[in-house]
Amino acid sequence: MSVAVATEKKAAPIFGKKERATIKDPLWDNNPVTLQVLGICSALAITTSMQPALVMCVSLTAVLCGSNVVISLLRDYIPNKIRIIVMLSVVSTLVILVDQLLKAYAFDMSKTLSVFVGLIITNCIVMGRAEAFAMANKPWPSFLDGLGNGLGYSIILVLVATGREILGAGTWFGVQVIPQALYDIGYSNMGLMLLPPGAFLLLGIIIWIQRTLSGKFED
Amino acid sequence: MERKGDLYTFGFAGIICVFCSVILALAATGLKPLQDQNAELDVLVNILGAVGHDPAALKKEGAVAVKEQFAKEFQTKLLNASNQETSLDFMKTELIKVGYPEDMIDNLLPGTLLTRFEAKKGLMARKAGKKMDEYDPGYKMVYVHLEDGQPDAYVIPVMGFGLWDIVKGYLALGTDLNTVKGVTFYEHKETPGLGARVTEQWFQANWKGKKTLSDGGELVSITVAKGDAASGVHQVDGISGATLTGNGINKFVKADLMRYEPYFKTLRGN
Repeated sequence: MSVAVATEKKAAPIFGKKERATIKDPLWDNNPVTLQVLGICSALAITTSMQPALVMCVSLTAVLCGSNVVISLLRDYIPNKIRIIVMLSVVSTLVILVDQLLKAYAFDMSKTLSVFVGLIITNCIVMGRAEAFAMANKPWPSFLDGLGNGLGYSIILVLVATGREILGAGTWFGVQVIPQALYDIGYSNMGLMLLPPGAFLLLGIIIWIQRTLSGKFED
Repeated sequence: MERKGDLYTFGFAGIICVFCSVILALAATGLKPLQDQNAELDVLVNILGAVGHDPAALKKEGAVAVKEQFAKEFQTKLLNASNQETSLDFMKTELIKVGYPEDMIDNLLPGTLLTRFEAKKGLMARKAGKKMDEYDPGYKMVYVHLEDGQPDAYVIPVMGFGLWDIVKGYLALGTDLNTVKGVTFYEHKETPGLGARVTEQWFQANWKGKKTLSDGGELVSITVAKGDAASGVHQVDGISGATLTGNGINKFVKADLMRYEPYFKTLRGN
């Protein structure tokens, strides 16, 4: 028994090939947004500008890592019959914590994100990773999986938000990037980008490009 | 341990519930003072915003500076049902009766005091052995903006249902008590990207210069409208996809203006 544990430990270094793959895989080849098409709701809603998108990314990644680790620690004790509701309790607790912390330390941001912080609870990525990965893996790989998926989600959100804010408002992180000279010769901001359809269009284009490049398709 | 037994399942569920509750209760009570401070600061920033200050710049200055600026620029008036200016004492004693600590009450801003009072009104009426409509003193707040010691705008709270929940805001009227000097909407639970855009600068800027009274001096309020209709003096341009939020705003802005109209009439008379 102890030998088996020892060899297993040797086979699972902190940043071995497998661990790196756990992080890298969801960033590109198996991106939760573009390939699994999860978490779309929030990806559309809070990407009109960079700042809320970034705070959402950080919040989701934190919740995802936290929930994956907690579920993974409990995985041998959670009764199978009630595993979904236990995951939900853990996730909701973490999300409410994040919400309370934002209200105390980043009040304006919590107002901008409003219901979407609460909706992290129902973000399919969180429950999906808990069920698919954390229930069957040790805490450290689960943490990496959470980090990877959180970052994978973040990359797409940042791309969409960058496109929407620059095209729709001419700014990036609230700083004017489209020069006044362009407006003077008749350029104007594209209001459509700030509305939900703008996000659909951009997200569609991103999914198309990403799938073409990575060569991965659904059957 | 046996993981399949019902007893184990119940036990596990119980432990998880208790554990999660304790963590959340600790976080909620621990962070409450900070959150309350933020909410109070937000109110002041929005009252200042209604008369044309930049909310973002104010927030950067910090709580102390904002409180000072507010105290310097505004005179807070509490009005009773017959529109007479009245003191805060009644609210204070009533709040202490239902268990608020005295030193805490003294530190509350008048606006916050009224909010707390309104929230506990039902309980207080029961304690005093009165029916709600007998008990309700019908208090309302007016924030008078002073410029060189002279009133230059009157800011009133406007509040009511949007689409999903209560929307709160402040409306500033010029000294004619007819022309809008500015408006802010801040607390809401409207749909992000649609109704939530009431907080955006362009929407609020539309309100400036609009009139609440008809040429004959009758109250007609201001409504959120679509397209060409929005060019009138009583209409502001609406938000695409947020018609129902707009309808809510139309309703509660008018209701609040009507509540203050008797008081405004006396002011106009002078």
